[in-house]
Amino acid sequence: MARRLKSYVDHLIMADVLVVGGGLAGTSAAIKAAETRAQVTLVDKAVVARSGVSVFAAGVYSVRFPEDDKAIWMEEMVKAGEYLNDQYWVEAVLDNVYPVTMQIDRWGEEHGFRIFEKDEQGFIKRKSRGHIRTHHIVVNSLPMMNSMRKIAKRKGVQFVERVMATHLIVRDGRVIGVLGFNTMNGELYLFGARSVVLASGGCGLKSVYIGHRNLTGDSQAMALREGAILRSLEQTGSNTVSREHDIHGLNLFVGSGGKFINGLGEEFMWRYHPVLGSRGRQSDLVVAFSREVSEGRGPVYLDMRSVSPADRELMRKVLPETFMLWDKARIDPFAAPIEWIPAFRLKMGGGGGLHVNTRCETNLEGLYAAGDTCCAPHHGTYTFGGMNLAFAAVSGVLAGGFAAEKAMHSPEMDLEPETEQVAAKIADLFGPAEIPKGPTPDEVTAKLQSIIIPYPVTYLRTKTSLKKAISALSNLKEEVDNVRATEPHELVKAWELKNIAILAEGFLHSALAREESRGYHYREDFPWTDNRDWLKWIYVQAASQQEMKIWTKDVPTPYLKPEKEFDVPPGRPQDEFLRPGEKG
Amino acid sequence: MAIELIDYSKCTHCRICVDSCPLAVFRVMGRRVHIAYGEDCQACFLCEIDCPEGAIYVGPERGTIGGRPIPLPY
Repeated sequence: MARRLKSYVDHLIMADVLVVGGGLAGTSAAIKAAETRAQVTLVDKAVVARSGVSVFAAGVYSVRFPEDDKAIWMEEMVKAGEYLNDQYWVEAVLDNVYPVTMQIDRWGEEHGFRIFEKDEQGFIKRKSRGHIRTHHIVVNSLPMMNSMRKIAKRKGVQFVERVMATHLIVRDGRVIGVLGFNTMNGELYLFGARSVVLASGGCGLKSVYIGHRNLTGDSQAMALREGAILRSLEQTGSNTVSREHDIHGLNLFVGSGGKFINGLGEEFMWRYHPVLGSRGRQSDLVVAFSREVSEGRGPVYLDMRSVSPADRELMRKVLPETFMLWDKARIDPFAAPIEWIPAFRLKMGGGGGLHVNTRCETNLEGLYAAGDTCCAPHHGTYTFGGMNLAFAAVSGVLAGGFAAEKAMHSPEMDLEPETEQVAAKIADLFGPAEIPKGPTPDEVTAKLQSIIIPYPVTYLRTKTSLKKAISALSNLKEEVDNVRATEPHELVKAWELKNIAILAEGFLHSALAREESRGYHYREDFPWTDNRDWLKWIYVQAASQQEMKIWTKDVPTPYLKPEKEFDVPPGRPQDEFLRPGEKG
Repeated sequence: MAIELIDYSKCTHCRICVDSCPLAVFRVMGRRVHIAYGEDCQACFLCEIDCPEGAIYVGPERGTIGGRPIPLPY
């Protein structure tokens, strides 16, 4: 290594706590850590308050109020999450979400932001969407994130924006720093930290749906490469969206009387979910949509003709992006049914991610995770709308607090910039810029999407379809490794592709391993929920550059246990239920 | 294309849109803000909502992957 450090590290930044990601989880973590007087730096690939999916959260935020019976919430969440929830995490969210949310509300009021919808007396309004005996409140996401940005600044958090983190620096099993580059000018950033919180969101696979195209699992992938353990990757998240346009707001649409009909005009969701029908969980919807279409009863439409005038007004207020789009496209969503499709996201809201305990610790010392970067431990499969924001806020505060405590007990700043490890990672970071003739990131990303997104891989999975996808992805690996970048903006896309690819691999192997159906994971060849042999979490760890290690562990059930050995999974009509050994 | 234009007769070069864009679609050259990576726009409308002058127009069409349409599940 003849080159000296100064010739290539443009910015060396030291912090007690480094937070990666500036959505609700990241800002919550940074603020909490800063309140303990830790020196906090927050690095974001975009700009805090306009980054991540928190800003696009479509109005729904689930909060258990102090007067609500915790047992009712616990039962509803664990049943909806099909017993794959970490019940200790469910409890942590239910215990903490009210005070954490009221703090966000007070901060908003201090700066004149109306974050949560209130009635004339000033009480927060409560509504219900996919909720049975629980409730959500209505959040205005843009003011919420504007407020969080202001509060973080006020508490002394240092922002480093337009910097993409790509590598963790690890010494003796302990995370001591992060490497990244400026997405506009390519300058190199090396951060030293006593503890690190990863909170840069999920991985949307750059597929359809609003506002997630820069969420590419950057934190999960960077941690996976250093030996971090991921969990539940087969529980890929999904939403649903208009076939023609990327809009959001489904929770409010179906919560206000919108319903799904198929090509025959039937309100088919009642066959899949006799209680909630069109208000069913996203996992019910996407598998049911795929089945209706694959069995010749498509397409599926969202019919909002019966929504009340008052609810139409509320939606316009809470979902400005959505209605701006529909107005421009000259679509009145309340006049006629709109074709609706599943929107696949590799991991967003629900879905797998970094395995964390209730202190937000990963298996790597000094490394914490919050929000969508985690394996959605509260959700299990998927509980109901509004729990993503609740988890982002609660896990953010917990991660920030515990990371600050860790930093306080770590007397030395261990980062030594001029090591072989740092030099090798810098070379790796700029690798795509050194490749003279390779495919472009866009080209390869499109190929990767066409392997993963078709419904036999995403929604109606079989051993055959998954094995085919694994082999196609493995054939694509050489192109992923040789992707080229001619300037910093393209280097971002090159790393986004590499991150998506490694998570997609983990997803396919986890989905192949789970021989039952539960949540977003539906197996045509195992169309039942098997609580006898599969009440298990699937873990993934990179054993080497070439190989993923997969193993399972029984899900602890301290509060609630499934009543049935075998059950009807989402997306299977009740009258067609099979048990192992039976043929359909 | 999702983002279509900046109306320079209204634009005051305040650069708020530059900071609004999650995908870093804008670049500043001299005083002027340019749509440098329009093919990466995800049509999220944040820039148009944040622009105090109403100088930005984002079309309703779905964004692309560098000009390639995004595959659908079926």
